[in-house]
Amino acid sequence: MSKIKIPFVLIAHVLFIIIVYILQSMVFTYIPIGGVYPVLLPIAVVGIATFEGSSRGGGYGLLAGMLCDVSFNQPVAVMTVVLTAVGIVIGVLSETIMARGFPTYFLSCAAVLVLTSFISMFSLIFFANVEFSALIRTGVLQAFYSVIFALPIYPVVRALGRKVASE
Amino acid sequence: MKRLFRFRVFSFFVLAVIIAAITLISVNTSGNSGFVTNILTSLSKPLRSVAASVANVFESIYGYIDDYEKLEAENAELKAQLNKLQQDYRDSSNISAENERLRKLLELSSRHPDYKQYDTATIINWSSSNWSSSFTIGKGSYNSDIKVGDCVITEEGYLVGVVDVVETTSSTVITILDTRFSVGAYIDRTDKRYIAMGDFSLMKQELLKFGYMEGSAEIIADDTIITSGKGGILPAGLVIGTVQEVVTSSTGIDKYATIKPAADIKSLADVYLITSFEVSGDEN
Repeated sequence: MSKIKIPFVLIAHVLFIIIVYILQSMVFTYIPIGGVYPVLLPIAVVGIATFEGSSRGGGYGLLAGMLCDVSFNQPVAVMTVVLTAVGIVIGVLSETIMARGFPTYFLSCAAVLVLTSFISMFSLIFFANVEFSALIRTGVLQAFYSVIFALPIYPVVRALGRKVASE
Repeated sequence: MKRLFRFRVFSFFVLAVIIAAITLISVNTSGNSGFVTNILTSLSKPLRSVAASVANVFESIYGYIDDYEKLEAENAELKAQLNKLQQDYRDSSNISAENERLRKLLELSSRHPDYKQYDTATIINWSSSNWSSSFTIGKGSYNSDIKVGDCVITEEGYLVGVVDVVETTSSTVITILDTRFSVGAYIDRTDKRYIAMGDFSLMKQELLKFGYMEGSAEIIADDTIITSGKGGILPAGLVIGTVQEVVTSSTGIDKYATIKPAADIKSLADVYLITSFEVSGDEN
């Protein structure tokens, strides 16, 4: 009888996303930073896509997007599509023109966090009577306090990427 | 051989008789147990002392083991008793807290016979979105009669929010701070009716807006704002909060007030839902 071998990399990836999800949805909801809740799942997607390519980035984006929607208490739709697209696009860029290093990873994280903020505020801009300046302020704060977490996440995604490359 | 054996037996017997005779003579003459007994006693004393010491050592070891086992058993029993007492204390604290909440809910229920049916729920998760204010409760269509639009309150009758989405085993509640929340309300002191609504700019400060007031509206800080029940969407008489600040527009035509919710929304753990209420005539 042959043994079913569960790859270590798969377990590590699953554990990583679960930890990031728990931090975003269960820890930082009780300890906001600078008055906002940091958004960590997009950073994880960017990291995986940068170091592992488009197919893994897309798959990871799909899973992280669904979890992100759930953590926002909204139907699984917007962030699912957005983060899947982010994973694929960043993955393709890393396979073609983008260098796989910290500067590109960090800039990609910042860009994706700004995009995430804009998409989150989209409905409020058009469908609610909300001051635009208040939205921009919240968006900037969200992106700023979230991008800080790109630093501790970087060694993890780089290590996972190296493990995948070695296999 | 037989003879030798018989002789030895006999000689032992003779020796025994001699010793016994000497002892008896010694006892009768000196009044003690006899010198043979003394000699034997003296000779055996060190041996007996050693034996007694060894016995004492063994006895003390055995006693120590026995005591240790007893103490261990006693310790385990005391630990179990302590754990049980702690658990009982926790249970009793929980029960008294729940009892207190239910007592307050009963008071609310007796004050408002128009609130027909209640349900209780525990908050299982808060939204991590910076763009809305909502939480998830652990009851849905499968395990309760909760439906979209049901109002969520504290045991004191303070309005917390409204059920927005009902899933199978959980539901999402938008709080009164959320931009999607809007309800007719009146100032308790003047009975003037306006609209209480969530405002994005005030959401992070845990405040909501009481708006659409004419510039001449009479409203001051600490006025209590209560749901009017207008339209029958939410029941009447639920306390939303108190006025914190009144802001008049630059033109002076209109004004709005910021309301501090009566419920400490971020600290909530358990909430109550009014799943059925009577709509009185003037609320329509």
